[in-house]
Amino acid sequence: MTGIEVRDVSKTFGDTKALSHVDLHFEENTIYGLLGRNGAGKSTLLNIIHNRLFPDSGKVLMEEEVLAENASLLPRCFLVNESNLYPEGMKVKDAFRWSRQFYPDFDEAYAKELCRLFELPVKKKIKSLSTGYQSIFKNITALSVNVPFVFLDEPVLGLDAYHRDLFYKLLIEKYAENPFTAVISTHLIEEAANIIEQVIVLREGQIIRNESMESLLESGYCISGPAAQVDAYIRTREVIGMDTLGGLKTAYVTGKPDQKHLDGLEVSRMDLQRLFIHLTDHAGRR
Amino acid sequence: MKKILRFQLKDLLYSYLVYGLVMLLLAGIPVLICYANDNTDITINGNGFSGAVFCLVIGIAIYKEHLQMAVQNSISRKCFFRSILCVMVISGCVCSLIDSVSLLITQSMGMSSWGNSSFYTNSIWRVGYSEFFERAGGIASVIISYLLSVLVGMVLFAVGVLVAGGYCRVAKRYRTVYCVVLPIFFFGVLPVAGAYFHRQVSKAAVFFMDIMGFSSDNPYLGILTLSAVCLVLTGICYRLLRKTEIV
Amino acid sequence: MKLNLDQEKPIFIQIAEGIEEGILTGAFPEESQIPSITEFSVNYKINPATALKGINLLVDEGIVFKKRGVGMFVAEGAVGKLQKKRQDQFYDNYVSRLVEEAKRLGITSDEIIAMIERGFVQ
Repeated sequence: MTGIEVRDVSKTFGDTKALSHVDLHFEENTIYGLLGRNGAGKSTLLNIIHNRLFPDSGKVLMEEEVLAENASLLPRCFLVNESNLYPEGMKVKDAFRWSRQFYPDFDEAYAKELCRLFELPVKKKIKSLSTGYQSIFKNITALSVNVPFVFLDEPVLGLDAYHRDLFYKLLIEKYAENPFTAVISTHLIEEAANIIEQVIVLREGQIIRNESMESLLESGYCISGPAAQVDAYIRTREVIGMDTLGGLKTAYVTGKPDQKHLDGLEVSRMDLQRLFIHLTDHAGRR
Repeated sequence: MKKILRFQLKDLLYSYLVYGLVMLLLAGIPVLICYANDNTDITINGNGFSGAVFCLVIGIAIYKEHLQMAVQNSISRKCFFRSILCVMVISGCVCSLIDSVSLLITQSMGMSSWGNSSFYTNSIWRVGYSEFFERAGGIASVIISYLLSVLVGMVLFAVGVLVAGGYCRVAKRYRTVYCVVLPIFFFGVLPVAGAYFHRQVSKAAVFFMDIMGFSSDNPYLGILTLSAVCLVLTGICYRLLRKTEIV
Repeated sequence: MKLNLDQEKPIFIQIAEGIEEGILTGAFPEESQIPSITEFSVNYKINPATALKGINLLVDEGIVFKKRGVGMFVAEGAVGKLQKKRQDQFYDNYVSRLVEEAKRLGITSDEIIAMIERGFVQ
């Protein structure tokens, strides 16, 4: 099997279960969106894949080989997350120089070009940068590293709208010209929604959805109208969630709209952000 | 492994240089003392231990930062450990070399006369294995004492890595406890216990003198013991490192 | 070509419609080159696979063709094909909706016709 396979991975911290029996397959040259609320286990999963944390049970495989501690396969992966593991006092340009040592395909000239676009001074020390610019530094490294698997844990954290836009555009450009697998975890779903091909939704350490963005959006629809009419319509149908505003009601329904009973009701495409909120709502009905 | 080793050495290069420079400057200090005090004869015993302490400090200081850099750059812990072993050997060699050179300079200056004063230096090994070195003569004693210094440097480096590695393995909320308990145990509890169990302590001291070959005036035994200790310590280091999680 | 990507229709259809619009308005004249997949995807921040899917709809209809290694071009006669297609869709897209809304508001067919005539004059 090509790509990266996560097989029955569980991980506990103290008495909190961060991941339980996670099975996943990351294919080559695909953009994944890893969604989930805070504490759903996204970061833990990525840390386990990149050999930073060890699973309590289960394993991560690349080409049928265990990835953990595998000196020849690990350099095909790159992970950036909230922690900054670069040494104290290291400058941006030095970090790029070392990145080229560690990853032979790292494109130093491209990285410097991106610094110019993001207005990141290369002579600054990494740890003296603001949170946003530290994120930018890490994203630039991730975009320049040229490895088959890039994991981006909250890449746009602390970035302003302009920089977020720039980052996603550069990511797409890179991907369109030279495809690789990118796994992006983010809270700002809407911005990444059109980029993501495959959606993985984690909830309390378990995978509740793993499908293409298209099929996820087509797995349901929104229906809105007078509350009584909406209630009548959804009585026999599976509902993911509901929003009520006065006498108006919007329901998120699975399946395809039933043309015969739609009189006076408005049907619209499923909205990913809404879907996500209702899927991951702990208290909500499922 | 080459990549992370290159990183580690490059990072340490500056430290080695500074240490070397300081040691060379210090080599001249006895001369100054002789000038300052008329008509004194000084004997300086136990030179050549500073390099080992320097190794200890390096071991503690670099471990976490370098491990993090390794992890960020997809280097496996096994690779990192091999690199650390190389750094251990290299640090031992470099620091001992600096120490030896510094000592040689001091000694050669001690042979000339400085005003009305004179001084004489003794390395720690010359004190420990005095008769052996008198018999062995110049080159052999230089080589043997160099080897001993290297090994002590390596052992202390391993201790440093062990201390830092332990710190990394301890859960975050216990790290302060670790920092407080470790020195208190070694420099508070142990000495007090030592005073209480003084017979056992003197027995231990005798045992130490025996295995180091000080009692039998046999530096080879010391080399053997230090090598064994170094092996055991690095083994423990690897066990610690293998399961260290970096987030 | 300006697009406001919304959630009402799948993105790839919106891309295809956007290019159609460009061809009809003359922004992309016949036999001229249209932007690459990369340019489309970067510009609208969409996955290149989605852009490709949208453009392939037009390729299948013979409105756009690909020249290997060069890029994608508007086919000869594309405008005619598009006008024909849009004419076919005109009833579904506009007339039926117009009538539906008119009924809801109580506008008669004569009144609609009068309005349409006014629209043509202005």
